[in-house]
Amino acid sequence: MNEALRKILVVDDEAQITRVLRRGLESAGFQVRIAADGRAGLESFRAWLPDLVITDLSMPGLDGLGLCERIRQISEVPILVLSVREDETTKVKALDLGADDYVAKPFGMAELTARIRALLRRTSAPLQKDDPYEAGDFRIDPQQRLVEVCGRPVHLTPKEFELLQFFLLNRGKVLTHRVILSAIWGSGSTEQPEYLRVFVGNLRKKLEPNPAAPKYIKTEPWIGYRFDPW
Amino acid sequence: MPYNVSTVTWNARSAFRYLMATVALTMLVALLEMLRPALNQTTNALALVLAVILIAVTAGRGPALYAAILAGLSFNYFFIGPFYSLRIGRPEDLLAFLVFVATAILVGQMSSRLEKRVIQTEAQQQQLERVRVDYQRASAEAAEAGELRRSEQLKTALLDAIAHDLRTPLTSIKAAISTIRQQPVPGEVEQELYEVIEQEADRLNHFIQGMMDLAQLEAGQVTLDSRQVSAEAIVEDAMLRAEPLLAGHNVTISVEPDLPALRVDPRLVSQVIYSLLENAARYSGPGDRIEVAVQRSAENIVRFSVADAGPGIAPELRSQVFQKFFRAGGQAGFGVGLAIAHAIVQAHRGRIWIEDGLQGRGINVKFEIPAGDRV
Repeated sequence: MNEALRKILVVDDEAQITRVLRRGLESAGFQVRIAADGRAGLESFRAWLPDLVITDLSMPGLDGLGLCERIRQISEVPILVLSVREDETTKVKALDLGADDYVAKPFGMAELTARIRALLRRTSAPLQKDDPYEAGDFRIDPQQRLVEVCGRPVHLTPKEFELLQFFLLNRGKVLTHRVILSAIWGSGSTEQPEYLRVFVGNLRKKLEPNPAAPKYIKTEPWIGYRFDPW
Repeated sequence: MPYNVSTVTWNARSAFRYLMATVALTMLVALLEMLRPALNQTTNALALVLAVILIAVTAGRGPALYAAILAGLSFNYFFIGPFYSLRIGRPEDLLAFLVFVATAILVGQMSSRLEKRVIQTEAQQQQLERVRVDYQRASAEAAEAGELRRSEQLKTALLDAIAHDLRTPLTSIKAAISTIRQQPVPGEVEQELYEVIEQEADRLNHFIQGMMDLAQLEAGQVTLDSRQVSAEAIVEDAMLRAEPLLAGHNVTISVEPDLPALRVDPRLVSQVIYSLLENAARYSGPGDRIEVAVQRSAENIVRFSVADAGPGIAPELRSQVFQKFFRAGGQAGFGVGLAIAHAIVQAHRGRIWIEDGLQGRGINVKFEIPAGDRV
């Protein structure tokens, strides 16, 4: 899809920040709308149906967390959170609630647009869970449970396959420990990130050219993982 | 340490006590013997009982019993007829002897017990005193630790607020610069981004100035650079600086005519109005009304007010927002500006408070300053 048509909704209460984001994102070829708080953001979302939402976390009235929650009830649109270091716990909460990624303030426009493009790439080519598909270096046949990385067949246990499949379907997203654990092992196991660490370690040994410096499964310190098939 | 009443150990110290009891009684009997012509039997008996009491108090129960018996025998030998013999001639003397011995033993035992009780009580009191001192020290230490923890929490909250106020303009600046560097942008957009960079740099500078003012005002070190100035000029200066923040808001200004000229530090008072405008802009929606008013509230007092139609602040929290670590609903960056405003108004011997805002919502922050001495 032509990026020039992509619509981005920016929700932040800081007028100067939204002013710059509008100009910066427009220059990068996006259509931009601005909302000054969560409530206005939600109204704008319903009326305009943007392709991606950028939201600040701390805002008067309906804040970023509330907005993530409300949007997730009605849409799978990618949500990118603008956070500051002091909002660490709020940021993880937002990711748990379904935000896709975060960018820390202050940020450069190049970093922001790179994250936006990565998120839009995923939604522009949605994967079908049951049909064979390709994503970056990966070729998957879900029926046969076959995996190839750069043309090299890889043997995975059923749980490892499930985890890789989950990573691929959510490629480019920051996935919190809680979100992954609850998706693969059920909601009862969300307090055991150690469990996950072992599985990710095994998966890296089988997939990564150099497991010590992972190319595909990247660690987001204290938060979770981000999978990038390219 | 508990006082052990029952244990009687025959050691050198108790032997010494018995010896002292013997010596004391012997000396007393010798004295009474010498004074025999001047004393009667009752005096002798009382003197001996007194000696037993003293021994009981100083030497304890065992020596007291021993002294009582020794005193009884001495009393019999020296002062009950026939003298210098242990025989007792008259039945009333036998009765006197028995009464004396019984009295000496009883009084001796009771005195020693009383003395022990006194010593015990004193020991207990000392122990209580030690416990009390320990407790006081412990509770003082606990209070100090709590105080420290609270002050650490305040410091963290303040740092969060400062970090937010510093990082917000920095975010605009960095995003603007990186946009200009990264993409070819049309000339007018480039100009707008440069404008943002300049305004946000000014905002950072004002914030830093505000923090310096606050620190100096709190330390009582600030000297007001007071001069004669009109209220209108102060409002104009604040409006000029707040202009980029107020874009898109509907701001009205009303200044009562013929106000007394103020003798104040214009930069600081303008900073108060700027802070109030900054908050009003942040907390009210685009297009919402913001009303700035200046009027005379008493003969020589000028009242400024900035009202908005934002979400408002609950009445019970309104006095707290002037503390520098306060955050309304978890919003950072709210408290520092109002804390600075509060400190500035106080330095001008004025007062600042919050009332209901516009259209039944929002807040109306008002402050009054005495016009000051005319030059």
